[in-house]
Amino acid sequence: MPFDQKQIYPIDFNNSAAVGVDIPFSDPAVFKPNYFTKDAIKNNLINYFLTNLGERYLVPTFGGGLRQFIFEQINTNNLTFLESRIKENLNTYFPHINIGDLEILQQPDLNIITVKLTYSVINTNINDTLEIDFA
Amino acid sequence: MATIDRDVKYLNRDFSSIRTKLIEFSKTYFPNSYNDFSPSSPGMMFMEMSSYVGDVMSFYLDNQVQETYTQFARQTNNLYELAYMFGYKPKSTTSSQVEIELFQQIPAKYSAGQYQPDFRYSLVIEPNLQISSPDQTSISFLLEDKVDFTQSSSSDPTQISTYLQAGGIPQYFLLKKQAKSISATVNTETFTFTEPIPFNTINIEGGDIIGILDIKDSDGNIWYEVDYLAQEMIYDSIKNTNPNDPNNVANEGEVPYLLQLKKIQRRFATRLTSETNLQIQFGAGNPLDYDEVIIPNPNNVGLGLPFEKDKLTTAYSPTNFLFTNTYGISPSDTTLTVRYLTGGGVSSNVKSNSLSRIKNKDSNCKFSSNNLSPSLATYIYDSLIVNNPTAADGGQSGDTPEEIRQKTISNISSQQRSVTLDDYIIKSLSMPSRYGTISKAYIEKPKLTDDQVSTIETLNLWVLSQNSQNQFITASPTLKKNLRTYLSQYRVIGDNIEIRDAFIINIAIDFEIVVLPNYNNNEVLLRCIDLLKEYFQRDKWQFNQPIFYKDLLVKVDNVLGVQTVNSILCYNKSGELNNYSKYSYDIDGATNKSVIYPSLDMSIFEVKFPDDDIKGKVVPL
Repeated sequence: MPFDQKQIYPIDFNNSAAVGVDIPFSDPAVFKPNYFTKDAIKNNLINYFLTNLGERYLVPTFGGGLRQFIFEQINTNNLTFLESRIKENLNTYFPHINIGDLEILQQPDLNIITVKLTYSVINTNINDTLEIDFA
Repeated sequence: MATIDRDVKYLNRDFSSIRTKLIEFSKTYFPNSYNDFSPSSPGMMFMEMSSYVGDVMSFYLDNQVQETYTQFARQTNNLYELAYMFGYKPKSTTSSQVEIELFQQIPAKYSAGQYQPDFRYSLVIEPNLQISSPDQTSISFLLEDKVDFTQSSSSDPTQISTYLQAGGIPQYFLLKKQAKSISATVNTETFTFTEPIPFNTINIEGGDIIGILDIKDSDGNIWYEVDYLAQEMIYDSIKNTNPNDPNNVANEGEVPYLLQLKKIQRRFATRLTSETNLQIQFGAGNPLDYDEVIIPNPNNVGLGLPFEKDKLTTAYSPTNFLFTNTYGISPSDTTLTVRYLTGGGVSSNVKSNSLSRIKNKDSNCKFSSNNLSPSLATYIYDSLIVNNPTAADGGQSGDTPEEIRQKTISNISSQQRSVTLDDYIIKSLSMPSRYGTISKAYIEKPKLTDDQVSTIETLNLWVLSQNSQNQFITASPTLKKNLRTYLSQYRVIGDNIEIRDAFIINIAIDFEIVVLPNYNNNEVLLRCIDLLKEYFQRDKWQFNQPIFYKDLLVKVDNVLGVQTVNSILCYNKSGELNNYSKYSYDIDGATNKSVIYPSLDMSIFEVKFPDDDIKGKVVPL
């Protein structure tokens, strides 16, 4: 009988081995390690959205580039363009992620954009939601 | 405490290899601290930032090392510094050069039964006469040396021809002289100094700066340019006149100027800090301290030194034996008037016959005598004209970075000192002609047979000069004195040089040829004589050069129209009564297997009067 085969990350079972570090770097020791792949992927996505285009050395296309839209008019055209670019870039830099839902919410009165991303990691049981506000 | 032993790789220099090694390093030594090496992780961001810093530092390290080598340096200011370090002065422009012909009319006077030029009306033109083209006034040329129509010598001949006749009687003669000129314009700038500041500098801004012409202070003192501030001796020239040196005035025609070394404390060094900035630097001495004229003695050199214990091993320099560190004095309470030259460039390569306008005639031209007829003097003064028969050449823009590199490297091997024997020959031949002309020079180590009493090995420098007809003559004592002074600056301290007169062997050539049928005998004979004249041209002969009869035979035999050479014979001509060398030479005795060898003493063969001494005859077969 066929069954849905899932992958696991062995490092998730080693409690003493850190996978990545959390963002922001707000731990008293600056870097707060995380011990699960799920957390590492989430922080990688945060890192991606907080990075400006051209900021990463030798990887100029890496980054959500959201900051450059801060002073743009919040309208449908801009938001659609932003959404398509994020999807495209996520496919490039996070090929193991399956984007479930990507919403870019606008609060023009408060000058805030909220990115809400629901995703899953392919062939795993990892599902998560990420929500970032840009003001 | 346990020592931390990490395997650090020092070979990684660029971003990607450092990044790769950092990942490996983390995996090896921090397996539990970090494991997410995906490109999007924040940890990788830090690793890549570290790799970035490493890459940049490696680049700068490479760049710094690169900039310390002349052959690799790229930044212009570094190239300038490196060039100066090795003794080469970069140029911001190169001036073109051209030979200028100067003409003046001169009245005729009747004297000693014939009409002669009245040299009282000859003009003396001071250096820095400016000449330009009537069409291009922006490009000026400068006469480098003084032009004196009263003097004529082998190095500076005056051609005289009849300019105007009336009834067969010369009224005016035309004097013609040649002088070298460079494309340059004289500019003047003044600088005021109050307190003496050690190693004070002033800057001259502007493009196409050729160099400093002269610097004078308010009191009329001349400040001399030196290659480096520690250089306290310079060459100075004084005119060879009776008041200046009565012992050498007899050779005035051959040696118009006497060369002497002069110790100076008012000196400066120049350097281009960029293409448009010339920096002038002075020394650190106080003008009131005359320590530089102290004659060295044990009290002021040895005992007066502050370092007592290591005196035995102290290195003394003759250029600065007092260890004063003054390097010349610093100007104070004075105003320096700096005259500097600008110009050059490709546009200064003007065409021939274009330089005819004299710019500063009034300040630079004057008569050699007083009490002249005013109207005639005005006419003669106005008769001065100039022209350039050939086009100016050599003008180009400043040194490119590659030129600075190449010239600096070549300058290292040709520093201004004489080490090899050839260096002395080149130095002797390159002495400026105003101090007399050495036309042939040869130097050799002493032979065992030489009667030298000194325990120091003395080098024999054999020299000959030339007279106004380009014939070899022995160098005058004045010329040899100038040469001795000139060489002293470049001489290695262990070298002892004895300047000696070489021997001139005058020869004549007789030859007989058989001419091919259908050829004109006279024409063929003339061709043979011309060939031999060219063969024996003085420029082509060197000391101790033998004459090969076979060589002569082959050359004459190849002349158009010659069927065969019947005979060719060289024989000696001597005797001062006949204007030949006073030394006779046994040509037959010196001939072995068709080769005429010169004497063991340094000698040179010369056909003194080619028109008379080369004779040919056409004989029947």
